[in-house]
Amino acid sequence: MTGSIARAAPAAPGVDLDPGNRQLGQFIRVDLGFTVASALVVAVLWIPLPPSPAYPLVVALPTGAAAVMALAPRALRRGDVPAAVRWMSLANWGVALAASLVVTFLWPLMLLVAVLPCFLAVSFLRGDRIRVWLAVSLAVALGVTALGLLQDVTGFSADVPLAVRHAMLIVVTPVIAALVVVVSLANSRGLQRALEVAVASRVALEDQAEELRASRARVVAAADRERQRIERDLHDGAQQRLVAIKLHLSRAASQCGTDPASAGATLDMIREEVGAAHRELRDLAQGVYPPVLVEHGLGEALGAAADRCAVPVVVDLPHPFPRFDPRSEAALYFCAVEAMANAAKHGGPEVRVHLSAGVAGDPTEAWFEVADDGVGFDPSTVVAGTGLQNLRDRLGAAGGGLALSGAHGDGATIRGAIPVSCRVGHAATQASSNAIRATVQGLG
Amino acid sequence: MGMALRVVLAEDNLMVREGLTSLLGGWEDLSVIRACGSHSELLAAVDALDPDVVLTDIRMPPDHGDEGIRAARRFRGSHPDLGVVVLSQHLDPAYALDLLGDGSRGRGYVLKDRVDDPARLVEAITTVAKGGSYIDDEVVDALVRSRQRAVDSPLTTLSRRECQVLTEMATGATNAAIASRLHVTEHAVEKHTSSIFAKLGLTDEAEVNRRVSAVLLFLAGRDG
Repeated sequence: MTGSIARAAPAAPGVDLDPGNRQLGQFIRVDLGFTVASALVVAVLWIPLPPSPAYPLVVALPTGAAAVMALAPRALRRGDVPAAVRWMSLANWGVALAASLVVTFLWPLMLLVAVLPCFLAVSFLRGDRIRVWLAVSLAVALGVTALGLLQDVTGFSADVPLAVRHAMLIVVTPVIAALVVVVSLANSRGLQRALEVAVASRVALEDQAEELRASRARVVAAADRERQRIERDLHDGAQQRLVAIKLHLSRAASQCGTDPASAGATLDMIREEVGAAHRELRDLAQGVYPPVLVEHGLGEALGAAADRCAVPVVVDLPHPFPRFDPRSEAALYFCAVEAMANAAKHGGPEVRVHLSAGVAGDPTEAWFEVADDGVGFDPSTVVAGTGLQNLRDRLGAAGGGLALSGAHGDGATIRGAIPVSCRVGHAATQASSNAIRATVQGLG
Repeated sequence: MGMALRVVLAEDNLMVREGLTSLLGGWEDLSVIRACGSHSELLAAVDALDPDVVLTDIRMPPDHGDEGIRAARRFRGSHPDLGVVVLSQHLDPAYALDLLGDGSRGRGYVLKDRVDDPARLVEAITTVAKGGSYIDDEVVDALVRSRQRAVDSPLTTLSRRECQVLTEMATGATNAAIASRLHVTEHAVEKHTSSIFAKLGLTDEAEVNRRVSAVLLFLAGRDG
């Protein structure tokens, strides 16, 4: 149901046909015009030529062919290319056979007319049916030759003076030959263009695959570095504190018997130590993946991250902040946090950071911007940095990108964006994917 | 004081659950009448026992998300007089504001790393039992710090003492409690609060529960 709608869609009035169909339309008009012209010429020649009983038939032939050909443009307007080719072919084959039967001296010309459908089929049809056209064209060509050479039932050719016969062949043959040549030339050009596009897109794909391989390697390396950092933090922080707690505990145990007063003091110390370990673990867990991001979204998470930043951050976030898919939220969050950390690290002691984020544009994208008034950067040295490359990879993996602006002594601005479908946009996405599926089914 | 407060405890970690039960067991004004390990157990226990206060972990099975806050929101409708103290490991104000989203009456938010201070925990429990609110001062401090850091912060117009009063207000303290903590008279606290509300452009809320929400929302930058 949807498939047939998708297929019929290009036929709507006023909708542009694709270039291939437009070309077929031009060929049809030329062929039709030529056929109508022949009918007129034959009708006019009736007067000077000697009278013949076959003459009405001779006029009727191109007229009938033109009538059948006239069905082709209508089929093409409906978007039905095979039907257009079919009507053109039937008209050409029909006129070739009939003309060779009645006006036998035209057979070399009709040979060209017999093979023209074959060129049309090769250019505009797909699949196995091209073979049918090949076979029929060959059969018709054979029939045309036989009819032209072996009979003259009507005796019309004998009535036409030799000079007129030669003149007609000399004038008309190049026109039909030209039509055949132009059709095959257009086909060849179309194929070459398609090939160039295919080669170019293959080169682009290879470049993209290379970049993907590189960025995947960088993502893996970044994940490994992050694991190392977490391991180090755990080892230097919580684990050491646990060791200290165990030592204090055994001291408290021995003090219980001998010196209960100091045991109380040791226990207090242990409690402090446990509190510190708890805070360190909480901060570490926060850095690994903040739960507030999952449960309250990017706006809340960025606000909290700005509070934790080592330098003052002015925050400009809409409230409520729209929610979108967790992968994009995470990518934007970690990149914005990293950008703030960069600004704090490189901006100088008096740096002020401005964080803003939002959702805008069509197609919709979620963005963040971290601007500082610090020492800025030299674009030529900073581009190669792994930190920024990580941000690029992270946003790139979610289909987004990173923009960097600033100059030495003039602060820096990092802006990241990812195309998103907000939760309100979900229905629209579903509809468009349905439409794509329907079109694919329609083509198949 | 009459009968002991009947408390239902919800915490999925067995060690912490046992620790809290024994910690609160040493307090004679309280009795832990049921200890639950999940969100659904908590709902069933509250429906069956109709306690005075629920002390719940924020994060529990089934989803390990914000079950404690979800339960508190449900109790607002089903048990309007029930006090709820949520134990949380999140310093992010978003969670505390979420808990107070449908009103701060009888709601408390205590950071989990402070549970070793039984007096604070008991204060939170008795406060919410009376219909008051209790917000961990560490959460409020974080909010005040971030608000002070903002450019053109309205908090810069407050005196040091006014800032202290504002912080105490945000934790849910009554004027009397603020007066005793800051060692000033209750009348002085009243003067400070009306000055604070005037400077910040907030409507003076006499009722403590409405006041705590207003101040927290202001500190979170959600005052419009």
